[in-house]
Amino acid sequence: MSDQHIEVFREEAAELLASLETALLELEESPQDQELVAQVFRAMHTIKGSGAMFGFDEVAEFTHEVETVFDLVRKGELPVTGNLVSQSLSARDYIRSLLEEDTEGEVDRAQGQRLMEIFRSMAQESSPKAAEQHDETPDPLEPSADAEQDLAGEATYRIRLRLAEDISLSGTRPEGLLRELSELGPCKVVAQPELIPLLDTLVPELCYVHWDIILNTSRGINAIKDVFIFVEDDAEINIDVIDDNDSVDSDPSYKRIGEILVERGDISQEELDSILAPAKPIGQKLVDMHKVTTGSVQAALHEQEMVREVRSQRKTKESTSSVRVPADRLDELVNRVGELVTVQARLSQAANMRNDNELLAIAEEVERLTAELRDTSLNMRMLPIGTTFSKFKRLVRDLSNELNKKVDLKTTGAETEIDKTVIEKLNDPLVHLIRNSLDHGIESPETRQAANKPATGTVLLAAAHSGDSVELIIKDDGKGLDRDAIFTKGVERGLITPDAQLSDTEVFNLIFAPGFSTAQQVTGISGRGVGMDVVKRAIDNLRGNICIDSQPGEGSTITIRIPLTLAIVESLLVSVDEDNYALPLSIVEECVELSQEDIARAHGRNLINVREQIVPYIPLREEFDVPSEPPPLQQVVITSVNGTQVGLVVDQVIGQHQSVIKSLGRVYRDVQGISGATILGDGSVALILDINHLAYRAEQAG
Amino acid sequence: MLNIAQEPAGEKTLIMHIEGELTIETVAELRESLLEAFAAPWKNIQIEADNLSGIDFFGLQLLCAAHRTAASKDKVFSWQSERPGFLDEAMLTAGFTRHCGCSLCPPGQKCMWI
Repeated sequence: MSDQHIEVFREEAAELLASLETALLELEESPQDQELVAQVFRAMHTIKGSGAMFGFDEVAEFTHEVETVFDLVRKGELPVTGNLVSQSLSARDYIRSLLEEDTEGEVDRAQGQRLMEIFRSMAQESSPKAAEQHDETPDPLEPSADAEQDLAGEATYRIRLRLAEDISLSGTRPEGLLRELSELGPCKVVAQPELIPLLDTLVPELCYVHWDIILNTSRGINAIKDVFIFVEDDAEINIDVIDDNDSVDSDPSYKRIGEILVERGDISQEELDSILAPAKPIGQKLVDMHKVTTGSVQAALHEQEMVREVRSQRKTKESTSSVRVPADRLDELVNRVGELVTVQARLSQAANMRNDNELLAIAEEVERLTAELRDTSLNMRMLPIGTTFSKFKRLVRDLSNELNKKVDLKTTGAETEIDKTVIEKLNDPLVHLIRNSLDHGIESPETRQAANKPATGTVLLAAAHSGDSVELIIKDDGKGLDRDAIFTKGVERGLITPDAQLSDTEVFNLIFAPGFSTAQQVTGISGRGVGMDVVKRAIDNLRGNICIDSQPGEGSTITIRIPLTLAIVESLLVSVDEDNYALPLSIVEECVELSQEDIARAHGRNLINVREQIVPYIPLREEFDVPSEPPPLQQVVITSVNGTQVGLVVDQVIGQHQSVIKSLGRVYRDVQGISGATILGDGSVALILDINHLAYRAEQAG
Repeated sequence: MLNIAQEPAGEKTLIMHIEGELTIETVAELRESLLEAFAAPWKNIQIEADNLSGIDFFGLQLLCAAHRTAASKDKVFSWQSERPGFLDEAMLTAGFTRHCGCSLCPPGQKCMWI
């Protein structure tokens, strides 16, 4: 087996394990949901089957135990309990550690043994029969029947079943067999009653019916034969494949009723031909002429309907099928598109300078195509954020058990798409924030009840698109932040003066300041590992912003806004002296002029009056030590960061620019106030400003 | 356990109330009662099965046989009112669900399973 195949299996198994976790957590909430039980069973089943096939014998052997238990649950022989879900989640984690042993290190095999014992005893408790079956661990050397079934592909079968009349003597119940068949896939059963005698001759315990069954399944013909394994001596069973993936004839319209009946042997071709003349539905005509029974027509109709349905579904599936592409290839594509965007900017600039109409037309066309290509390639990296939501469900579940609290995690907007890299980088900050909410926000059930709140706390994790950003909200209905305690700590830390007049938001924002971590413990906001300053830094690195709102006794709301992608940003291009700078357009509110009189009126303080509102500003010329004299009329670009307005004084506002973000490299890693660079149409470099840091530095400088 | 009670409704109609489980263990009992009913001059024999708690393939087969017998004797065998909804699943599993009646079903008369 090649490494590539094994890698593909690992990836698929990882996806299955992720969906398994979600299904298990949902199952805990709705234990009666048979669809979820089936989903868990299928996931275990596939992991076991493909695990054995790709040489992960240990995975196959372990998963077999869990699968056995879920098979019993599926059959209604075992109930879904909290313990079962907990053990299954541990089993899921163990399977993942087995799969990742090469990269993540040694696995605790004793834990695996313990879990296997637990699942074995669960299976034994259910029924002695299950215990007997139990020892059949899959033979790792041979692809198991399950692996085989997955290879078999989907097919539609026509099954004609005639049971011996005295079948009931052997204890067989026909509906049991039929039910087992229907568990293999979509199934239509038609009983043929024509041989049922009249009451006076009827022996009611005999079986006079035979069946036509149309079954669509991916489990293979052997799975069907297995259903009849105990009755094959007492039954006449014909199984024909009538449609599968390899069918040359993929026309969704399938055969006509007459053709099916001829093929089944219910009527001869000659008889059919002689009847086809008058125009009536063929089934009706045949019945009228007593050539076939209504039951046969019914079975043929079912066959026609099911095959048509399956074929048209297959067609849709084919057209929406996907291709697995390594993420780094996508990154490469986005990089290339980035370069193309830069070159396109140069082309547009050159065309403008030459004033050549033909060249201008071409440049415009290239610009349009580049923009489309950019959007397409960026979209390819977009993933629904819901993929990470399930992890948080698990986190909340485990943590609330640990803390003896009752917490319900609600999520909305799981379908919101966001760049894959952004999702990965969001994980740690979100884990930290949710942990905080549980640990320090949500109160114990007793305290909550005493405060007339429901015993179960709620944490809402919501995502939604908002312009070119994504807004994430983490909201809890806990006790909220203690404004006074934060204020006092802020004063102690020297972050604010005791007489400072701060809004609630400004006070809450103090907890993001580096070095506030000790205070966080006292005020009860955080505790474990990273502090809120790390969360803030992570969000800053994503060029996003974070703000907090809190009402005492009602809970806290943390809002995070982050750009959709880290690769390309719409920015506003400005210049100071001969240097160009880019600011993310999403935070720019407006541009106003700054005259010498305005400066004189502020008496040396960097403040400007904008429509009766005082806005502080940062002169970039001073900030970056540009020696030249400023022009008489400067421009202030007013930005809004975390709800606070800050102006940036520049010489000139050039205009909107699509900036492909380039990192500055290791040497400039610690330079504050600059988050990257972009290449302009003329080949020069413009630095991308990090307003958060610039504002913070200006504040520190007083 | 199957309880069968007969209740005449007018001169021509007999209602058979069945209660309990109509399965392989009890089909013989119902067959006997049905044979009696068909031997008598009732024109319509109606089944009331609202209190039936379960039915298996053999139960369904017996009802089918009764319907076919009625057709052959020019009588009508039908549900007293609507077919009880719980029968649908058993019918679907055993394949008794129908679009049109069998060859014995007289034109204009509804099959038990439609």
